[in-house]
Amino acid sequence: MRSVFGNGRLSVVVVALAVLSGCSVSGLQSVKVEERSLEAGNKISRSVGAAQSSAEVTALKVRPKFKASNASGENLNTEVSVQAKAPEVAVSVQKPATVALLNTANYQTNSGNLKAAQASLERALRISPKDPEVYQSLGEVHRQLGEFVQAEQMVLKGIAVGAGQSVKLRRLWSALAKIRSQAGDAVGANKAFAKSQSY
Amino acid sequence: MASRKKMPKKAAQSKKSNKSNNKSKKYKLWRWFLSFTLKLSIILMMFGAIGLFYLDAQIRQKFEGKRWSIPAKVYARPLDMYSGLEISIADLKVELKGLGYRFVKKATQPGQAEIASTRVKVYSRGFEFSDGVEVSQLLTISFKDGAISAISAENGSPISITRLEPILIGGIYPKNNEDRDLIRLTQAPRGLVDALIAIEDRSYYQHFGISPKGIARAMWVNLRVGRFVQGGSTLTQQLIKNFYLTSERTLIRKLIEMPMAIVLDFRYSKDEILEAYLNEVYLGQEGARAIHGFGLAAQYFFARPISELQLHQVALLAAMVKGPSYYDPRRRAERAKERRNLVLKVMAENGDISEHEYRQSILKPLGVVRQKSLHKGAYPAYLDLVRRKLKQSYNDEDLSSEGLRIFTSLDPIAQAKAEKSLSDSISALQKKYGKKANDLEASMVVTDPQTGEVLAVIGGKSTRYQGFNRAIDAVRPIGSLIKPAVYLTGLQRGYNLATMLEDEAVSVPIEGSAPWQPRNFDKKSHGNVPFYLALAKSYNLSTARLGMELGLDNVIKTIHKLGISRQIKKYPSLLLGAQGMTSLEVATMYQTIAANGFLMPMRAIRSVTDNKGRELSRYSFKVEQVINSQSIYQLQYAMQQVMSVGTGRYANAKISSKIGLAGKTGTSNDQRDSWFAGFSGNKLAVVWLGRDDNKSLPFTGSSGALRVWTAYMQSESLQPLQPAVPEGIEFAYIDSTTGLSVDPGCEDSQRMPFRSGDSPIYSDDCGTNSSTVPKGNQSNKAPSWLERIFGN
Repeated sequence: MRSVFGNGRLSVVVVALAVLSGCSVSGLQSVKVEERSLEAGNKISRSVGAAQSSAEVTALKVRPKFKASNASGENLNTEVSVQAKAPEVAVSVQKPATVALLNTANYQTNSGNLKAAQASLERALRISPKDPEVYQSLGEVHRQLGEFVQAEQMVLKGIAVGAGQSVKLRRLWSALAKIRSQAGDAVGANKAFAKSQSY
Repeated sequence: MASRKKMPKKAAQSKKSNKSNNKSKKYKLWRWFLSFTLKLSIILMMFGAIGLFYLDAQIRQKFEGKRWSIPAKVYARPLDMYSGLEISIADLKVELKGLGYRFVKKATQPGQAEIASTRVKVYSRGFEFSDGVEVSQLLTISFKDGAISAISAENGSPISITRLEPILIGGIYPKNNEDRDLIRLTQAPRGLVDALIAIEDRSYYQHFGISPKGIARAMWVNLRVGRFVQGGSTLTQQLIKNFYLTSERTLIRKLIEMPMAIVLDFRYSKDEILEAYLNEVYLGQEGARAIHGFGLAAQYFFARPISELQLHQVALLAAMVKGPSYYDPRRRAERAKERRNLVLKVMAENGDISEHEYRQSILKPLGVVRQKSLHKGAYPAYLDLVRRKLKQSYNDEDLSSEGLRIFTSLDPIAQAKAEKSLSDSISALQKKYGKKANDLEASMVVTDPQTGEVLAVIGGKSTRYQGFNRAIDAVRPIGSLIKPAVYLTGLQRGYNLATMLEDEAVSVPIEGSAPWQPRNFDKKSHGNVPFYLALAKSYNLSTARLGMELGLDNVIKTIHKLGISRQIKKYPSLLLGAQGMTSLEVATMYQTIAANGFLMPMRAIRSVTDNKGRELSRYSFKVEQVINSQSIYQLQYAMQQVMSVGTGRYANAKISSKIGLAGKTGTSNDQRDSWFAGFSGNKLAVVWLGRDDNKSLPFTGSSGALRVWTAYMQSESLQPLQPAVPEGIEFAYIDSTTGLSVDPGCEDSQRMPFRSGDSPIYSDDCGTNSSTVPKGNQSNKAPSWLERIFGN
C-alpha cells in the first residue's frame, strides 16, 4: 500500500503554497492572537504541572473522541501534518447581522448567560454557516459549559470551514489547545498549540 | 290586573256566610299545611343551601383552576431578516400572507404591510421569543438584486437584524379535539363585546346571571310564532351550559343551569365572566378539530389575530354564535351574511356604531379566507416528524393541555416551493408517460446542509393529506444512492479519484444461492474507468468490484458513520443499493457528506417553551467529525462530476454550473424506485418517486426524481457549494481515459484534488502513448477479494 501522506514532494508543495498565499496578516489582529496563544500556552503548562488532579477528574468524564487515526486504518488527519497548508483564501466580509449577533453573543457569554449566547450564535450560524468565528464562539460557550467534546468538535468544524484563512486558523487552533488542556488532554493540547504557532 | 285581584275577596266573603261549619276543619287543615310547608321549605332550603354550596364549589374549582386544556402550539421558524438575506419580494409576501398581514397603501398599525417595487414596509406585530423580545415596529425593507439591501426603523435608524413573528403551523390536540387560542378581554377588538351583547344578551351588564325579562321576551316571541325559536339564555347561562354541563338536553340540566348562572354572576365580575365566554364559545369545526373561542376563530376564519379584525368581521363572528354550522360563512355564505348584517343593524339601533359605519359595513364581503390557505394543518408530514420527536421527551397529556410552544425549523417558503416543484413535475411526468405513471407516489425532504435543520417534508403526493408519511415510514431500496458511501470507503482506504477501476462482468458466489451477477444499466461493460467517472456515470460493475475489494464490513461501517443507525444486511447487493431506507435517512447520510464529514443530528425542533415562554428544552446544534476532510473533499468533487458529466446532467442544464451542485441518482431493481439526492451550499434535497404497490416505473432516477429535484433547486436562491480546500490536498490535471497526471494544456485533461503526495504518475505525452496503465496507479491491492474468498 502506498503511504497516503508525507512524501518527498511535500516540501515542494509547501514552497509553492507559500508563494501562492496572498493574504497577509493584519497587524492589529496578530497582536490579539499572540496574547491568546500565550495564555493558552500557560494553561497547558499549568495543567501538566500543578492542576493535574483536577484535570484528571475532568478527563474521566470527557475523553476527546477525536484521534489522529483510528483502529480501522482510516485517517482523520486534520492535524497530521504541521507543514501542509491549504492555499490562502480571501476572507469574505462579515454580514452586519453576523457581526451584531457575534457581539450580542460575546456580551451574553461575558455576563455568564451562556444559553442565550448559544441561541444568538445558532442564529448567526444560520446566516453565516461558513464563518469560522461563529464556530469558535460556539466552542467557547461549550467550553465554559464544561462540554469539552462539543467544544472541540465546534472548533474542528471552524477549522474545516476556515481552511486557507491563516489568521482565523491560528486562533482556532489555540482555542483548541485551551479546550484540550482543560479537558485533561495535555498531548492533544500541545499538538494544537504547536499547530497554532505554524500559522 | 286590578279586577282580578278583587275577585278572591268577594269569593271569600260569600264563602264565609255559607260554609261557617267547615271553618274549624279547614283551619286544622290549613295549620297542617302551613307547618308542612314550613318544614318542607326548611328542608328544601337546607338542601338548596347544600346544593348552592356544592354548585359554588364546583363553579369556583373550574373557574379559578385551569379552565381549559390548551393544545401545544407548533410554530414555523421565524423569518430572520437582515441585509444580505437572499429573498425576493414575492417570497416575503408569501411569508406575510402566511402571517395574515393585510396589504395596504399605508401601513399604520401592526399586521399591515405596504409592497412597492423595491421596498416593503412591514408593521410587525412583535413576538416574545424565549431568547428575547421582538418589538412591534414599522420596518422599511429595501431590496436589491434579489436580496435585502437594508432595513431601517421608523426613525430611519438602520437595523442589522430583526425577525418576524413565526407562523403557527399546527397544534397537538387533546382527546376531545378542542382547540383554542386564549385571549384577554382587553385584546377583543372594539365592537366584539358590543356585537355579542347586542345580539345575544342585551341586558348582560344589568341582569344577575339570568334575565327574567329576557325569558319573558323569549316566551312572548315563541308564543307569537308558535314554536320554540328563542331560549332567552343569558351569556352567563350559555357559559354555564358549555363550561359545566353536558350537552344533553335534560330538564334537570335546564333547572340547574339557572342557579349556577346566578352563583357565577354573584361570585365573579361581569368582565371576568365575559372573558371566559369569549374563550369558551364554540364557533366551528374543521374535521375532528373543534374551533373554540374568538381568538382561534379569528385565525380560523380570517387568518389574523383577533385584535386586527374589522367591524364587519367582528360582527360575523358574533353572528355565528347562534349556530356555527348553520351560519358557517364558508358553506352558507348568504345566510351568514344576512345574520351578520342583522347584528350590525342591532348595533346601529343600540347606538354602538354610527349609521355611517353600519352602511359601510353591510356592503363589505364576508372576507373569510379559504380554508386551503390556512397554514394550520398544511404541514401534516412535518408535524408528524415533530410529534414523534416530542414524544421522546414529553407525554401526550402535557403536549395537548399545557399550552406548550414548540418552535420548529420548518421554512414555509421552502415547503411551498418543494410542494409546487413536486406537483408540477409529477403532472409533467404523467403527461409524458401517460397511464404508466398513474398512482405515482412521492416523498421529499429538504434540509439546510450547514446546520442540519429540516426545512420541509413531503409525505405523499397529496401534501395536505394526513396519512402514510412516506418520508419517514416508507423504507425503499435506495439503488445507486448508496454508491457515495462505497466510493468514500475507497477514498479512505488508499484509492484516489484517478485510480483506474475495472468495469467488467463480475460474479460473486453466495452460499446456498445463485451467484450475484450485477449488470450495468446499459448492459455493457466499460473497461478501465477512473474512480471519479465510475461514480459519476453510476457504473454497477466497477462499483461492485470496488466494494468487494474494500469489503462489505468496511462499506457498512462507512454507512453507519454517515449517520444511518438501522441495521444493514451484509449482502453483496448492498453495494448497488438493495438496502432499504427512508427519505429522511438518505437525507441524514447526504447531510454528513454535504457538511464536510461532520455528522449533525437532523433537527426539526429548535426549542420547546411553556405557556409563559420559559424554555423547557432546546435541541441545539451539535457536530461530530466522522470522516476526514480530505476524503470528503474528494468525494464532493466526484459527486459534482455526477452533475456535469454523469447521470445528473439534466440539472446542470437548468442551473448555473457556478453553483457546483453535487448529487447522485438512484434507481432500484426493475425501476421500482426513482431517487435523487443532492445539495448546493445552502440547500439539500432528497426526492423519492415510486408506487405504494411497488410496481415498476416508466422512468429512472434521472428521468424521474431528478426532475422534481431540479425544479425545486431552480426555485430556490442557491449558494454555491464551495467547500474550503482542506490542508493536505493538492491538485493535478488528469487524463480522463488513463487516469494519468498530464499537462494542463492536454486535451480532455481535468483538474482534480488528491491527497498531498498522492497524485498520479506524470505522463509527458498527455497520456496518449501509455497503452498500459502504470502499475502504481492500478487497483492492484493484494490480496484481492477473489483471492480472499477462494484462497490462492
